[in-house]
Amino acid sequence: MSKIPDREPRLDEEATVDAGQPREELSGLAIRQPYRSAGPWLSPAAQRLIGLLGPRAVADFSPDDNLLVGTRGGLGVFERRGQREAIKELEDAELGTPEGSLASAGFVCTAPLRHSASAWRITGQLRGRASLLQLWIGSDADALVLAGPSAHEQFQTDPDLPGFSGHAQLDYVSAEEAAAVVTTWLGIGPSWFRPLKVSIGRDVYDARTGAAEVDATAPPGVPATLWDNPWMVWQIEQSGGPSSTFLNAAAAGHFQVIAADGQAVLERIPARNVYRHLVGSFAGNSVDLEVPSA
Amino acid sequence: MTDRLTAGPLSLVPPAGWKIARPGGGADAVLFAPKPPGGSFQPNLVVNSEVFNGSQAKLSTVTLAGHQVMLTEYHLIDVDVWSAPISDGRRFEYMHRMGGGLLHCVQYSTVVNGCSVHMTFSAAEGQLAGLDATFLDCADSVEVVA
Repeated sequence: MSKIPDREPRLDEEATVDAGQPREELSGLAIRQPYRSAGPWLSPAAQRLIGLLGPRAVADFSPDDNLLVGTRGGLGVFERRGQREAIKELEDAELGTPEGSLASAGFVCTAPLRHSASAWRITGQLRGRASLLQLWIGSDADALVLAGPSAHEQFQTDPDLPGFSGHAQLDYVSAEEAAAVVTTWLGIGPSWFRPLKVSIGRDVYDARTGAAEVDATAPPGVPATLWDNPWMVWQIEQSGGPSSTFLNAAAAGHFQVIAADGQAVLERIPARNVYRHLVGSFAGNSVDLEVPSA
Repeated sequence: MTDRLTAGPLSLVPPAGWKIARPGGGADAVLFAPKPPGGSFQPNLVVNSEVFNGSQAKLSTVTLAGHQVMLTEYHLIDVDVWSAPISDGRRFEYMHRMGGGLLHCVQYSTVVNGCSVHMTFSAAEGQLAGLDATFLDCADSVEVVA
């Protein structure tokens, strides 16, 4: 281990004082982790077209049962009007044909739209900038992802640039990797966990989460380290079901957000439990967010 | 009495049904979970140790820097304190891609008697939910070899 530096690492002073033992600095680790996707970026119109064509396609077997054949559910003459750019976009992404039906790759990756086990929307908001990830988990243990700008991209974006355009990156993954994809997209990462529960007036909370600029002084009862960090509020919602709200406060950690009596109650939870909440949600199980021993 | 396995400066109770393999690549111990059906990833535990003169905080940063260099599509989810029988250890949880599959790892690391020790559990993403308690029980069983 000759490459080990001589000097000791920089410490997280507050965590070190709280623990009475050295706690290395973890801030900055999470924010540097990118969302990785090699999938094509699609405009809102192209996403709508995928959403239209996907459920229409029908898979069947050839008479000798050897070949999977698909009726790829193209557009009618009237439907094609006004879709030229979206058709071209899907063709360029090798998802569609010039005639406005699905190409092989488009047919395969839209299977979760035809045979859905569940459908999810995860919305994120940072400094008033929104983003969206849509997820369909298929009954064949596959999943379709349409991901807008990730937390990593949001944190890096110049606040003066225009907001979310609705463009999203398409990926087709295994269902068991869905929670990992969403974890990475949300930028879930490490911070020193210490229990914390604070209540903030709903108006203050809404102003804080929707604003590009943050008041310099934390409201009474809110630790400065929580207030001073960037807040990415995100919600997860199953199609037709209730939604849950969370806060990724970067170095200040992850919080579950509960609305109660005109207050937003923020309760810190370990990052690993956020991940387990996603796994449990996508698997159809509820997961206790209480703090387990390490 | 449960049989304990000595691995470097530590001993532990292997998870029930896990097979002890011949360690390779300088590891102190390698254990495999029962083979899952359908050719899925076989969850495993690797224990390794080496001379280390530094603090726990330093081991943590050195370990995380190593992950970033060595692992493909690495994503660190969590860092916490591991307060099992050894003083002030660390528990790292991260994902990385290997051989086309996405692996989920829980790594317990500590400094003991001038050595760094890492216990690294690896599972495929979809296997973790069924193994969380197994990993925790095994980490809780760890003792320092006198």
